[in-house]
Amino acid sequence: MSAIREDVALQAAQWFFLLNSGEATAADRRRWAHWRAADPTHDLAWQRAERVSLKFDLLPRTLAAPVLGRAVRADRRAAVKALALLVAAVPAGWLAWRAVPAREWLAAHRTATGERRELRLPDGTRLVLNTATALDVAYDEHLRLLRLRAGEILVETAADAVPPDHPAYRPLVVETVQGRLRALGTRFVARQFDEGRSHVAVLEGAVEVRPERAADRPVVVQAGEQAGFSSHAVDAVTPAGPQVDDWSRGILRARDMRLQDFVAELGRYRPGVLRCDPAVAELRISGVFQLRDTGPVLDSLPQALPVDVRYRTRYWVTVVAPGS
Amino acid sequence: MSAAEPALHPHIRTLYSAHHGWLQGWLRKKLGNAFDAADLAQDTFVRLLSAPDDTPEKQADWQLREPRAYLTLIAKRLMANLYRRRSLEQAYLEALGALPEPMAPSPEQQAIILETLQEIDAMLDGLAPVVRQAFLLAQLEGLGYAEIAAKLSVSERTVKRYMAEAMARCILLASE
Repeated sequence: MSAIREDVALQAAQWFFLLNSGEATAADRRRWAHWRAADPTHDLAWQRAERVSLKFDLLPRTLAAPVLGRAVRADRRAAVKALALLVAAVPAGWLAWRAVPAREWLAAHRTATGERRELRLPDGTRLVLNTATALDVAYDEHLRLLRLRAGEILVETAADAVPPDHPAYRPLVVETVQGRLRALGTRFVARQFDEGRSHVAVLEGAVEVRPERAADRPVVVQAGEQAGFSSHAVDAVTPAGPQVDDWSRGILRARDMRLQDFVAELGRYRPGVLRCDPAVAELRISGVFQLRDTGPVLDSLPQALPVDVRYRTRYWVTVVAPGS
Repeated sequence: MSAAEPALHPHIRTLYSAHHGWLQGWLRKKLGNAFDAADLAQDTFVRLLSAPDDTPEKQADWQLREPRAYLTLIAKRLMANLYRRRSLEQAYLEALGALPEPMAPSPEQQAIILETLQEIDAMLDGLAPVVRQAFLLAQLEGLGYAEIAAKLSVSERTVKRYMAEAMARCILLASE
């Protein structure tokens, strides 16, 4: 794409206002048409002016005027100070209008789709909540209970915790709909799937899994291992790579991943529908991707693979075979 | 890492391992928030990596001289952007709360409105306040040049110049 020069942008802007003023003469219009045809960047600049103007037209005045006209701190130092104050304030109000299933509203901590949040609990345990997660924290004198109602968490128990053989020791337990995970070590990822299943991957130490209806047959999952479980049984334990907590650093690492699985994973971080056409489902993708903004990731797919990304709306996106 | 990658990337890799932790700590102190600090530190390096190869930060010698000064320069710019986005969200929520209920847009509309606001806000960033104000009065309030001139105590000719300046900026920064 050819870049628009500053003087060309200024000319386009001047033409735009002249033609929209109602004062343009027939001669003006001829000169304008001539200018527009003289160079591809002239036409491009003109089209952008029209698009910018259209964007303004689509905004409701009652919202746009106070927002764009707000006082903004021009000097950077003041901006950074103000930023520190804004950090905590936004997400709470931000969530107020998000439509979410009632079950998740009850949870003490929750994240919206695409959001990630870190929590530090009173005992020093560090939690990272992944996208669309709902969690209750229920600590009492006997038990540190984390009720995972939806989504995914990374748990890192504090290094200075009371040792397990001490009378004051309280076990740390993550409860999903399907069962309980008791932390025997320090670092693991627990996930509650919508379809009546849970999953645990252990990075350090070990975790004991007790399915709700098979609590007498616990299975211990060691560091570097993972397992899914239902209310009745724990699946076979399989190796887990170090990438299982990549999401807590905001990235998705794919190595020879099926496109369908990749798209499904990406879809967790995007509001709306993201689909993969079965015709391209078996293509393979590798790379490291940023999760905080999935738009650019989608846009880059056609460069990596023989696919097109089709937007029906911003919230309905399908990855399809080219030209289909 | 494959051999086909640009030869200058190892410099950035060295830079990353030598200064990423430090940068994150510096940001955490500034922001008082580990999460934003981690994100912005990451963004700073992404910014470096995605810059064209002939930009100064990709040349071999600058990072040997003042690497941390350069990283904080980029990080400060990103912090200012983050502040702009957050303050916009805040103002948006306030404006939304002030609307009578039947007028509130649906969540989908809101997402689009907010995104458009962020986009326009980013384009207008850096304009002189009076230029920005004149442009918004015309585009959002639909005021004519004479009215804007009277409101801002400047000549109509000046208003016209402001309009062109603001629109030219939008043209240069508008995404495809």
